[in-house]
Amino acid sequence: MATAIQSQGVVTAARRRSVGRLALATLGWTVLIAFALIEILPFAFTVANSFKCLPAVQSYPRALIPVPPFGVSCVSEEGAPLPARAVSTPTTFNPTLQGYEEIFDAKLPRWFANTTFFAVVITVLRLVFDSMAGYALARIRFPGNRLLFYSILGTMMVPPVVLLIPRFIILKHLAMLNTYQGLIVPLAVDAFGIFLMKQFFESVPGEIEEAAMVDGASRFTMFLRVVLPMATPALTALAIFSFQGTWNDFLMPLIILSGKSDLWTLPLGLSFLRGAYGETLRWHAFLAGSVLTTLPLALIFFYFQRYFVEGISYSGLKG
Amino acid sequence: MRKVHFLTLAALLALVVSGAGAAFARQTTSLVLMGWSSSPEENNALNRQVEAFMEAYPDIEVEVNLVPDYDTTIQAAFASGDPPDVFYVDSSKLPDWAEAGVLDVGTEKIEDPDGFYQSLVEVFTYNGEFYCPPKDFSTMTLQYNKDMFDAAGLDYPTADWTWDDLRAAAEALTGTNDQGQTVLGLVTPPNFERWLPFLYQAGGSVLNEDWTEVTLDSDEAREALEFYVGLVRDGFAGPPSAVDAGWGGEAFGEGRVAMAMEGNWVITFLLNGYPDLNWGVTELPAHPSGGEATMAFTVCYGVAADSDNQDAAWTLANYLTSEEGARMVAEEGFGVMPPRVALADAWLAARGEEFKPFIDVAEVAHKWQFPVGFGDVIDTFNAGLQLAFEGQALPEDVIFETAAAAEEVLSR
Repeated sequence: MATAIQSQGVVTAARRRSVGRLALATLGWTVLIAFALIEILPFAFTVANSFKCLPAVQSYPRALIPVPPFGVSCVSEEGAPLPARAVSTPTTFNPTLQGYEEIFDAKLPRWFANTTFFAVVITVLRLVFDSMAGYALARIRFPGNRLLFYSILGTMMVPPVVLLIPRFIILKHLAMLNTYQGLIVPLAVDAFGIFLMKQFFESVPGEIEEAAMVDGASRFTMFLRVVLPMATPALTALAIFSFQGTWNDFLMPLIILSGKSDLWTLPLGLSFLRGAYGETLRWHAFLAGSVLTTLPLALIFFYFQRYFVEGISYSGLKG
Repeated sequence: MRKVHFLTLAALLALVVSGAGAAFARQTTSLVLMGWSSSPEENNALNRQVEAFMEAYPDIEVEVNLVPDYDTTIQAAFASGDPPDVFYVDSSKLPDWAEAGVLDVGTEKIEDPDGFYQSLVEVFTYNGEFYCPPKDFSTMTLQYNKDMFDAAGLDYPTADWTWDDLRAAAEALTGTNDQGQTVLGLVTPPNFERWLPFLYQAGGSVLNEDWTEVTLDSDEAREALEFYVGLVRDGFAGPPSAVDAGWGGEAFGEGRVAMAMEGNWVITFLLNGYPDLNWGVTELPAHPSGGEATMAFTVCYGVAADSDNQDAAWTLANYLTSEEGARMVAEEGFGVMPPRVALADAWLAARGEEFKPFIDVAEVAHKWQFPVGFGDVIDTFNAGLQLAFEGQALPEDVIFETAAAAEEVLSR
């Protein structure tokens, strides 16, 4: 009898505990879902509005639900723009490709190709040079090693804006303004990457290299065959940061490339489409451009999600 | 065989010589024209203008360079000592750039200066020198929603309106719409440039003629600000944010205000974004004593002091602003208006007669231009005005503090 009562008490307590846990979980999920919605809403807004006609983008409230007919035209048969109510209601809208057509007329494919080219080339160069410099600073004893390292570190403390005009003038004297190499060369090596790689190489036990040296490997073979393969986490982090940073960079391309629209990157092109005054902004085209600028990075992020998180936790820094 | 060789060689030589001769005969000068982009249509019109120029002057080659983030780009170009030969100069930037010596003086070089609106010539005259020929301009007028006026049984605003008419109409038009949202009679952005017409209409001024003295602390200024703030405090008007809008044109387009005071930029915005809006334009109301005024916003073609090809650069700047050159843009009928009086009809024919008030007010338009460093003064005023709208500051205090900030800038 006593045991029965006792076990009943245990069951009640367990049930109470599981009810409590359920309530806590529900609360947690609710909070998480709420925040997720807040985070997702701007993206949903961008995507939805990029498929609208201009009057529909501007009309309030901004509808988020697409309904057929799809691919409507934004102008009447006489060529006059259609009012918002002709292609949308307060909650629904008829999608159009107008914005995407406009942006494709505005050299967007070219800017897309440029951005990809810059991001890939700069990332590859950084992986090569940063890892070599980082290795040399971590492993090779040469006079001025520490001084060199601290001067490289020191350049990280200088706000990039300060370097803007000097960099511009140097590139001008080298006749590298408005050229591909003008953007690539100054960004081919970066202090943060060297720092990251040096810190990593210092954490690699020296015995491994000694073993390789005993086997008769040269310094370079050892670096290439033994050390570098072990540095994958650091290299991935570096690749992600530099790709993302180059893709989104605005100021540097602006100063170096703004003279030639054939060389522009996506952020420059978008800023150009925005125009000098917001009033004449063609929102639908601008948002279509934003979608196409964000999409590749978003896809890369989903694909490499695990590495992103690892990379951030590894470097202890956000890119 | 050898003969053939000789002949080929001779032919080649002749080709090279004639080619070189042609190259010597046509010594070309290349110019860079830098500006910003307002809309794809305007950019295309500029390109057509430049093509026509190159046809008329085959020895000058022009590269049109429209850039994003113009201010940063041109600043870097100035700093490098290799600026574009011809570039856009916003009226507000002229004092800065003239002081910095980056602009070549155009007094002797600008052709037919009498054909421009004299108010625009004045805008680009600094220390007695006419710096650059105006490219185009915008003025501020009153826009009104015809349907709302009809519904309220009111007559449409006219050029004869005074402040009292504006206030009475704003009061009558304030209410709620079908969705239960507040509708205001007038949108009053909390910005210096929106209030300045009222100051000038009342007969006041910010600085004296030669910018040596602050004249803002006056009864006229207090009257003008009390009127502007009074509309808001009494509930007939409000800033765009009061009706969930980002700026006056949006509030007007959404039908949340019955009247707005915007410039030419509102034309394209409303026609493209709100095609079914039934609206009209008239001049800003006058002070009860009859004082009329508005603001003009304008841009000119500056020629770089450092340009290696100044003669060619002036030829280009003059062509683009000549009657012939500017007509090409005027006939497209964009929001902005041509700088020459003679082209007003061409613009109206393309844009529509109903937009005539924008041109009519050109002669009473004041320039949007202040001494170097005046940004702080404008910030002081805008912050004060916002507080005054909320009832947390008195208009007279806002005037006093703005005048004090202006004194400080002048004494530097």
